[in-house]
Amino acid sequence: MSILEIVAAFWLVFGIFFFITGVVGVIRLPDAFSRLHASGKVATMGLFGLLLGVGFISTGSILKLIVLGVFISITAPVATHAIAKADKEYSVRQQVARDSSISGEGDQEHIKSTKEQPAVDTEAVPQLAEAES
Amino acid sequence: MTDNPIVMFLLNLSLFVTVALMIPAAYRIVKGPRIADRMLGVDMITTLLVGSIILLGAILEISILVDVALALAALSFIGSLAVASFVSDGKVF
Repeated sequence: MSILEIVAAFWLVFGIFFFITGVVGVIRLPDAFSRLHASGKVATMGLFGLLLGVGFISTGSILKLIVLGVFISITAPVATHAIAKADKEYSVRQQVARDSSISGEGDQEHIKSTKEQPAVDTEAVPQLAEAES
Repeated sequence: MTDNPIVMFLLNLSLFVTVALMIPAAYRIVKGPRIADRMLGVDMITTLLVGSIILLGAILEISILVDVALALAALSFIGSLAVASFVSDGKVF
């Protein structure tokens, strides 16, 4: 067992350890954003360790593996950031729509549809329709 | 390439574990209460798929599977950005 194979075995075990850790975190953590934090470990540490392990075994394709590792290290945090930002804006939009439909005082800059429509649905609340008429 | 049985066993075990870990990620897609959980599950399944393709290329000694993994990683990144843009803005482009 040569020295290259020992190093490759170490990096394979390293990558698989981070794969298992990240998936356990994604299953067991309580909040959506902490689960996003756990999935970042799968993409960067786990896959990078696996790439290093395979690269020490099959030395013919080490250049393409390095390119793939650099690409994954750049794009995985960007994708995680985009997912977190999309979820935040989605939940904020839903919360603003819910508040404006309940109280009738929606933020006029964020919801443009309230300028055309009445904030309170008069068909759903007949008492308000009677009061306005 | 190697002929060491310990390293080959480790590669096969890594491939088995990587494929088996897709099941909890699929559970997170089905279960996930928020929309970020489902996008996270798809992203993580694609990452595990890239790892399993690379391990398969190392086991079967097919070096072109690394190119397949590279293309899959690029498509996964573009797809994640497109879905995130669709969720946050309501339109894809």
